Amino acid sequence: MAEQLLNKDQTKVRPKRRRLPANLIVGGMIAGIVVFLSFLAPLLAPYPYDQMHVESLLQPPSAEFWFGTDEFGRDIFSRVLIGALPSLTMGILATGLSLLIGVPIGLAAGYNKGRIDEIVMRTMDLIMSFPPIILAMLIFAVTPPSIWKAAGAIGLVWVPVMVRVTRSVTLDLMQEEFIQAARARGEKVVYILIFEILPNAYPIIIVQASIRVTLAILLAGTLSFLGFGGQPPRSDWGLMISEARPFLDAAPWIAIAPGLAMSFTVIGVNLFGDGLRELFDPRLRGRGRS
Amino acid sequence: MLVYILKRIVYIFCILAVMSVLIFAITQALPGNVARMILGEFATVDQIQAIEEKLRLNDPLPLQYWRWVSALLTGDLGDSLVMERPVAPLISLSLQRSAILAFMSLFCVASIGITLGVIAAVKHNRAPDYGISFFSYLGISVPEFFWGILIILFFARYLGWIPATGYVPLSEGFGTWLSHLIAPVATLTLTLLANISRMTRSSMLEELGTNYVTAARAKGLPERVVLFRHALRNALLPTITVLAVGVGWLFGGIVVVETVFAYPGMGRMLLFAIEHRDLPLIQAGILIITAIYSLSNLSADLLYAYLNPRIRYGRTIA
Repeated sequence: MAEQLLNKDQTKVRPKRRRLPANLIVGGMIAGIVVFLSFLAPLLAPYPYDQMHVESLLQPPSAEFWFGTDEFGRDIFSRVLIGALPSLTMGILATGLSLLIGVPIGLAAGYNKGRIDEIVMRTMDLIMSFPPIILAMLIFAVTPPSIWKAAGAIGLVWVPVMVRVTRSVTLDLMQEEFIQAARARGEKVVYILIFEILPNAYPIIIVQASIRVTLAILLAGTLSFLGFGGQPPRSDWGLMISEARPFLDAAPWIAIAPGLAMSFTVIGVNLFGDGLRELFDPRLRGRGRS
Repeated sequence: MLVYILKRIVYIFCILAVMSVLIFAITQALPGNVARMILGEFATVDQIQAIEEKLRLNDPLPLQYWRWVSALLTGDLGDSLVMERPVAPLISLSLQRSAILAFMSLFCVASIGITLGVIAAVKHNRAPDYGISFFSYLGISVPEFFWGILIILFFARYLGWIPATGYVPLSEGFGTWLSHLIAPVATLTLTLLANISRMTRSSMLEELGTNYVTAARAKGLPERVVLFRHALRNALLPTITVLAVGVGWLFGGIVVVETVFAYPGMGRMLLFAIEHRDLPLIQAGILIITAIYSLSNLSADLLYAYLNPRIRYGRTIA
């Protein structure tokens, strides 16, 4: 199916033979490296992330400290490595949560046209009419911050997007003959949803999820930057950049190292997502954040 | 059309009502007690009771909610707990400053983004197109707080062209006022630019492949007229939708940018309020931001309907 779509829409650019998009490979490699490093970080990091080297504060990058040291003499390279896991976790948890809640609701709404659909979609409209960061801030206005809550807040805010995407695919699929056949056979609703609709709907859902992962990493970084994520002395990238601000003059590398790490990760996942999009649905190309 | 607008306005009021209940419920149901938050950890029982009496915190919740909402409706937003001043003037001042940031950024994003998109579409698959795509990618992938820090490091610290942070009122001179706005506006623009230029590029490419464009060229119209009078007009419609989504991002972006550049706007005030648990300020701030967000969504939809003759909300929806 993907091949037909590719050839129809982009006669010029793509060769006829089916090949994995270059984005997908490059992005997958970058994302893979980051995931690999984040899991092996405790082994790879030359120093513990909170070990203070009192004799070498705010040192520039050197052979001893690859990315320099911060105001407590902590090794930036180790902290950037250790900070990868919380940042990735937030991105994946948030997306997972929105999938877990959004997809079943979307399936149900698409399957039961009529009142249920109407109620669900109006509720989703309601949720979407609040600015996302404000919802997150409202949660943090009253409870102490943590990365779990940051991930939860982002995930909840994105439920409507997942619901909408899943619902529209389901609505399309409901017109197909194989679904009508399954209903005529008297299959149970749950069976139809899980074994007939979901396997055909997943490419679009996965593409949407891949976009959401990058947005979640960015948004989670933003929340930690604002002080709503992990708390010191833990390290995650957003927090590190925020803590580095008073030392921009004396030691810009404290901010630059985690910033570059985060940008590198996001570029990787973005490329991967674009590759997935090209693979599954070329018509979606050319759109950015939504 | 009028019916549609009225419907939407009623809907906005519904949203605000829901939001007000939500804000009230969350701020009241929080762990710990408001009086203790105001007084700090070492307050005596007497002090707590005195504050509770003063703020009438022991009344039943629905009554407290009613008092809060009816005060809101008469324009009384309450007093800030920390600064001990009425909330309304505080908010209106910082709102004005944030609005300046928002409008300048939107203007830059729209004008620069559409221009870049058109250039990329016209020079399709040539060096300028690849260059613009590359920078769009960077714009999307680098978090806005990191853009902010890079701008501070390069333009303020290294080159010394602009002040790094802070805000100066307009009364101290137009030049200094503007120079303090450049860095935050540039940061916001960078992060939103990519969507607009990508959208303009792809819809422009689509339009350039249509028959009416070929016909216009065949008629012998100058290329400039074909591009801007014919193709761009139609290509702008999807761009406007993306721009409207961008407004949503702008709200988040402004909070971040105001923090990075120490710009005393709405976002920074809200953060201050959250840090200090200043409930009246939090409540009023969030409610007002929600209202503005809804109104800007409505105006984006109306603009879209106005520009697109195929959509007339009065007939299709209402």
